[in-house]
Amino acid sequence: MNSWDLEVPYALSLLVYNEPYGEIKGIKELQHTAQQTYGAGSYTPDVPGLFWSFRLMIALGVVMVLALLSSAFLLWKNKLQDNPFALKLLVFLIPLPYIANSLGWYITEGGRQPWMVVGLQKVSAAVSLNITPTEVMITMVGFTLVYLFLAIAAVYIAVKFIQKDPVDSLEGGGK
Amino acid sequence: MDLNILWFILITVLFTGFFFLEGFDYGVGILLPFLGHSDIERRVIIQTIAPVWDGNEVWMITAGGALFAAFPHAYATMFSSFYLALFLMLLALIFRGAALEFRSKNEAPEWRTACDWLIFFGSALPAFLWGVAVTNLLQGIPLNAQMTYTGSFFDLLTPYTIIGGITFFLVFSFHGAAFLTLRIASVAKIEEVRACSRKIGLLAALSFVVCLFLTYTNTDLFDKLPAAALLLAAAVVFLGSLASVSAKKYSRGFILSSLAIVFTTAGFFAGLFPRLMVSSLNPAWSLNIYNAASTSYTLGIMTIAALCLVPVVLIYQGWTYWIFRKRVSEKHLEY
Repeated sequence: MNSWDLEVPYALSLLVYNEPYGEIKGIKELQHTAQQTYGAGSYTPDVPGLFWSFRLMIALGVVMVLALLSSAFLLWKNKLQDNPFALKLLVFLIPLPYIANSLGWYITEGGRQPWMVVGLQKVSAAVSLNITPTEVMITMVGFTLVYLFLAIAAVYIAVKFIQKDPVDSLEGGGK
Repeated sequence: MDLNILWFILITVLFTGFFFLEGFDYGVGILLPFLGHSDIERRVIIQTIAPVWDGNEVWMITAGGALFAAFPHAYATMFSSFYLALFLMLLALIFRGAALEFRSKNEAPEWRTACDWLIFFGSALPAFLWGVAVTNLLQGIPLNAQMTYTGSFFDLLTPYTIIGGITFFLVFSFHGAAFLTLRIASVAKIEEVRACSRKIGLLAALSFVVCLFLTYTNTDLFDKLPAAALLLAAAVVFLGSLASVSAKKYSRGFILSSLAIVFTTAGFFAGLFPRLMVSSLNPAWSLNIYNAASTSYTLGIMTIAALCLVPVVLIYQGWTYWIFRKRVSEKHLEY
């Protein structure tokens, strides 16, 4: 699927098996083996979603590292404060860690499907028996709204602080 | 003594510490809109708990974590049975934490008033819900042979458990007032807190006695001598606390209100032992420290981890209280 790649010999095998000569299997073969071991069913997670989430997360990480290094270089040369482009760019990079974090969580949770604990318990077997779908919907919608509300409040506070006179805001929140 | 008993004791200690510590900061949050007449007064009141409230909350998280690790079946049954109640509690705690931290970040009066009420409801609702949850644990809930709750959310609200909720709410409010008498610098304000604490304390004592009576009629707790002794001692000590605060013996008042909470929690757990979740359908279906436990290997590893880490946590939390031991005045406010 990769149009280009950088090969590190044995690295993937090391990651998966902790030894350099393990065999890396394809998705279809894994699906086949899993069905033989655990019975019929799909054992393949959302491959395209994981593929792009992972690459986007890494890309964002690279952008953040580059931004950090170039800002550090400008700061070292004492030129960061006179460079409006670099300063404005940093402001626009604020959402990146949040997006990268969320993608990372998707990779962790989505990549584990259909397992709750790989090889031991499926998500379908881990569901609480006494909880109805309505109850789950209530809490899902509830938490989503709360976090949306808190996100708006946090951005509102952050913008207020950004707009303040810099010297003033150094004194902290004691007003 | 086997490790199952040790972990039951450890979880008792964690819940006891949680109710003792978080009890007063819920109480301070509940009293905030009524005792703080101006913004500066409210900031003084918030400052008394600001450096410690999140540390206190960690006791609840640790208690939940210890339950998960040591008695996973009890954890699963408890969190599934109380699903919507816990959701409400989490909403309240999220808003409370955000309001405590965000309040001082904006000077608009509407913002601060909104935060004050979020702190109030964010403290009052969990205090009430903890009372409901604990009395449900004592009374037993309909659990079937598969350790699964067969009731609904509203089955958790019975006259006994509602009285339990009200009792926790009032006792924590009084405990918060007793804490404030030790933490505020202004003498006039302490006098006002004292007057307020007498009213709340009387209501709390009344509610406490009714709750103990209902515990006697609705549960088997008083069949066990240690539990009965601890609960009666808690009632006596609570009345002593009321009298002490009233007589301006504030240190003694706070120590006694703390002891009342400690004795009550310890009494409840002593009465439950060796059960963790009581089934009201069939005593044989109750979850206890053996049928709900992890393997002895897991318990062994966790015991070593707990022995190494718990002292560290106790030391740094104690240190926080020591650093912020000075009474709070209007001159040095961070929040």
